[in-house]
Amino acid sequence: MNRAIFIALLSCFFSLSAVAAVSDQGIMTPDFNDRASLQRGLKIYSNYCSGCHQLSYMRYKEISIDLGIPNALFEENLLPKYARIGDQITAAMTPADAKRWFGAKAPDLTLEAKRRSPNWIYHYLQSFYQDKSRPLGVNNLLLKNVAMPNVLEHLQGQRLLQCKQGETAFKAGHGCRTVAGEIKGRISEQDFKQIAYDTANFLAYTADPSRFERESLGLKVLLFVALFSVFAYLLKKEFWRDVR
Amino acid sequence: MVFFSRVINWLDERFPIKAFYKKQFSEYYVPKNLNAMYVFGVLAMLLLFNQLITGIWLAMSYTPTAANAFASIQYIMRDVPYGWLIRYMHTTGASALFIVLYIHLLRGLMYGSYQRPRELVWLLGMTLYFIIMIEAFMGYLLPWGQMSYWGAQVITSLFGSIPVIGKGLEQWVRGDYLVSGVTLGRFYALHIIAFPILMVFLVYLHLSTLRHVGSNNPQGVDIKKHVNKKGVPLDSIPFSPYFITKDILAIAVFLFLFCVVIFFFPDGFGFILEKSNFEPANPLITPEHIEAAWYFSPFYAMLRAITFSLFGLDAKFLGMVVMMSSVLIVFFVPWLDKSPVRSIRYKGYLSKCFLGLFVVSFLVLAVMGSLPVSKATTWISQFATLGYFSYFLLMPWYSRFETTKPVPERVSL
Ligand code: HEC
Ligand code: HEM
Repeated sequence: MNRAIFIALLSCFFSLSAVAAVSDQGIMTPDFNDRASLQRGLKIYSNYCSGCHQLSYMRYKEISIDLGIPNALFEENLLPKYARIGDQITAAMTPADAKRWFGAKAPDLTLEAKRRSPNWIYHYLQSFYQDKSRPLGVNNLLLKNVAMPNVLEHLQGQRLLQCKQGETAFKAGHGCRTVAGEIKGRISEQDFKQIAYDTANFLAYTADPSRFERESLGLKVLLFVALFSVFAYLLKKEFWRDVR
Repeated sequence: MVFFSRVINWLDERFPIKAFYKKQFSEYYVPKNLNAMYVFGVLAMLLLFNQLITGIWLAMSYTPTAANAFASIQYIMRDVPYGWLIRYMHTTGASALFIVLYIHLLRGLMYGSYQRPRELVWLLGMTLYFIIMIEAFMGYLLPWGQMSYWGAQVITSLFGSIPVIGKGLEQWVRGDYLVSGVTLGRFYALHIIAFPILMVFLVYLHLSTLRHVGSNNPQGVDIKKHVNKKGVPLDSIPFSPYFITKDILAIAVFLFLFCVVIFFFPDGFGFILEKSNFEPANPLITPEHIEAAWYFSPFYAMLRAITFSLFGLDAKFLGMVVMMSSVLIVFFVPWLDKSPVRSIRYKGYLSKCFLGLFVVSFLVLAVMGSLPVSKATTWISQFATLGYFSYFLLMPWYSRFETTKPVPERVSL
């Protein structure tokens, strides 16, 4: 009985990590075993986001270890000139600057995937669209009157809002989506989805870096406790034989 | 072995450990028909111990200041070796303690464990529960997330709704006009020193009163009526080794479930660690809807259910009175229950229906308290509040007049 439950649980965990990364309904699941994806996510963060957003609870060193990037390689290619490998990841722009330039602070992204969800970030990055009424010329279906420029626009291409008749964006249950505009992006739609996925996956990792260690230790602990339960059960049965 | 027994003897001459072991373990007799509902007291003790130990380790690296509290939690989660494990054990432990206590309490209600001669056990248990609620509330402020901050803001503002003395009291509790670093400092001191000492002391009292009168059992049969020549109840078994081996099995099974949550679902799907608490406290931005931790949800729902003023008293104040009464009324159960029998098994239909109504109301309130306020949730909460209170307030009537079944002389397995 115990054993059956345990095996069922075990296979449950393994199948969790094996499900497709993005389901048919467009829901993304982070995959921490996909190191290549995490490394690509780190690169996107470094190239496009780190100017504004900090990952201030994360250290460069931890990332280099967890993502399997050798220290020397990391220092040469990914470490900003002003930082050392043991430092926390702070942005070049201070939050006060951001407030002045964009009218909103660029939030720290370390825990963003826990505060929203990896899936939210995945879709957020794909939901920018042209909006002339906004100072930056863009808006976002998931974050009304967004204060962040669409920094990936040259990759994705321009997007336009398309609503069902009589609908406007940001109403509950609105029938709006974004469609490709005239200016095409530098990469295909599929490749851009992958970029959004890698970024969301990387941020899911920064929000929960202990998961690597946690789940592998967890299996060992569970195995031990399960064994212990079996012995506890036998012990109890032995003692209670004469109680009637 | 010889050495071991010599050490024991040496000790025993100076401190009566052998007599203690006899009195509390090998010759402490419990009814032999205790079922699985009787393991939750030990689980509560285990969890309380877990909170104390992991709490000490958290305190080593936590910083109780408004500027650094949030970051210091992340420091524990990332830079302290196994800090994540310690913190998850503490956060999951808090939720588990409440689950275990709710079952422990329900057991008491089901089997009439609060009845004579265990009234004091019940009162001390309820005092303990009340203190644990305050302890959990104060601990919830410490991570200094958005929900921590605004939860504390809402609950401390309840003091402000008391007529005349309210505003002064509110400031006295907060130590400031708003919840601030000052509040954090005092909550921290109370959370890690004052209340833990109180809790340990109360557990001691709870257990010593229980051991003085002995455990009840699922049938509510008084086992002390039939004893052998030595005065040992016929329907009893020694605590050690019988009940201890059962407790160990229960602990093992519990630990398995506990570890599944700690290692694989430490956020508890947003119930153990709320999403909005991954954002540092911001006194300038009020979250759209402020949730209570799940274990306070039923009480929070009752607070919000009172949307009308009465007799010139503010709705908020009345809500607080209702919420406080919902906890206080449980203290009085030993005197509200007029039934000649203890266990629900021999009580009449009315008692069974009302206990069912109570459990359903409690669960419905828990759901309502976690949803954003709407007309529907307010209505449903009001009905469920009535259901909750009617279990207690009508008890003197239904428990006296219903027909009960005869209680057997001896217990059966
Ligand atoms: C030019 C500065 C800038 C850059 C570069 C930038 N952002 Fe932002 N970002 C902002 C600002 C400002 C906000 C706040 C938006 C608001 O509150 O309306 C923001 C908001 C966000 C949010 C939503 C926060 C929330 O409200 O939950 C996410 C997610 C995000 N950025 C991700 C990214 C990612 C991923 C990149 C890199 C691909 C990136 N940002 C690049 C300035 C920037
Ligand atoms: C941390 C809190 C608590 C701890 C550690 C604790 C511990 C225990 C233990 C070890 C027992 C004996 C084993 C058992 O019957 O399960 C017990 C019995 C009991 N507890 Fe608690 N308890 C706590 C809270 C409460 C609360 C909140 C109540 C409710 C008022 C309560 C009421 C009782 C009663 C009535 C009994 C006797 C049960 C019987 O004999 O049928 N306890 N408690």
